[in-house]
Amino acid sequence: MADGHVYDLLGVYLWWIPRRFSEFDLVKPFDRFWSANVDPDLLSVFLPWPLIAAFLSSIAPGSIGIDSGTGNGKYLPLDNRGSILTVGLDRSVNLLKLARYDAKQDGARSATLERGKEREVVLGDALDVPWRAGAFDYAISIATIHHLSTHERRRKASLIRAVNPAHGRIMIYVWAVEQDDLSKRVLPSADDAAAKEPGKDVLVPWVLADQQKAKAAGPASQASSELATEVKEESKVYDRYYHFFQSWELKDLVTEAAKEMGLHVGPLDASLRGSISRGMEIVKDGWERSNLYVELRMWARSSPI
Amino acid sequence: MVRLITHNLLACHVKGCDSNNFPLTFSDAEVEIRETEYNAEFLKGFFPKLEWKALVDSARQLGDVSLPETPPIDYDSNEEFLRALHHVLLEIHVQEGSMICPNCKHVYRIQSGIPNMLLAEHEVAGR
Repeated sequence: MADGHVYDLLGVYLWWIPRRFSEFDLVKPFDRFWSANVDPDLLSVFLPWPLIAAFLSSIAPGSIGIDSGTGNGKYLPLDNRGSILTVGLDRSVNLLKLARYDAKQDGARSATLERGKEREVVLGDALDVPWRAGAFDYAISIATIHHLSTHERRRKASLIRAVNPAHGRIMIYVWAVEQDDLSKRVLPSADDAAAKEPGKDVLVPWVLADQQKAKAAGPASQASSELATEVKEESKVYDRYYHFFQSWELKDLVTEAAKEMGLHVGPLDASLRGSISRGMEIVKDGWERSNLYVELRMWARSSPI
Repeated sequence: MVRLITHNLLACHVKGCDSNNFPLTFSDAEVEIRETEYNAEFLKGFFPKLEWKALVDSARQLGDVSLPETPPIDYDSNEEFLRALHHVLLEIHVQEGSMICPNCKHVYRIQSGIPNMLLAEHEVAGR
């Protein structure tokens, strides 16, 4: 990546912080920083909320799901008044400590750090399957897979192994190469982004602004002053990897992952060959506000027609 | 959190460990009981997906013997049973301790209520 691009991207960081709160994985100083600086008011503003909320609200009562790369767990409270349960998986223990309680929305900003309902969280890697086979009825992966640095790794994180092969449903959401006008995400020069090539690999530098360092030093407890010192000492530039997906790339990825598992890709259709007993339907896919998404549904038929 | 609802899903994923790797056995478990809201609709829908024997055995490891070896046939209308199931699945929290794979004996630690299912790169299946 040319130096000029790094410079462009530096201007983005303040905007990213609220929008992409949940995406820190192994950048420890940031974990610590956010553990002390939760500002839930900022979280919901720009999020791809409606699509995910609609997906979760369509899940049958009694279902159990996995949120792979849950971060601070912002989707865990969308539980249809307790009739479904989403387990949050992340590899940042500090973010999981936030995810395991709902933030109470009492109005006053200070009150939002009080503990609300408890959630289930598991420390683990989005590439692994630490579950019994097909344990989940549904799975979501929101702004997670684009942090994985190879095609192979992204394919392994597609969650097809985690869900029930007969009825499992999956929603995956990633950043797109095509950004809308409102987006401040800056991509390396768009003119070489030939549409047939895979998406763009970008390192987004993360910097802590002085203002935020001051905020981290705010509460006078011993723990937070230690934290502030650590943040200050380590507040340099941290590059975080992002893969911006081409429009066709997410669909290709899940198709490849399904075929690798011997699944037919397409809807369950009586005209399919009798030997086909399991499949994955791409229910819908599209582009929404600079992101690509795909919704999948597994199916199985016991006796070939 | 490690509640039994989550424990009923977790399996060992060490490379090559693909049979007898469920359920993980609790060891040195420190348990806290915390009440939570009862939702019959969730329990009725979730019940058929449970690995029943694993749930009963694991609850007993944690000192709770309220669940029967064989679930009642009328589980979806038996409120006494559903209340007991609610308690076992959602109100028993393992705060500290370990979960050990019955097959390969890998130890997964639980700290501050969070189970650590991370493995070293060379231990993981399918990487």
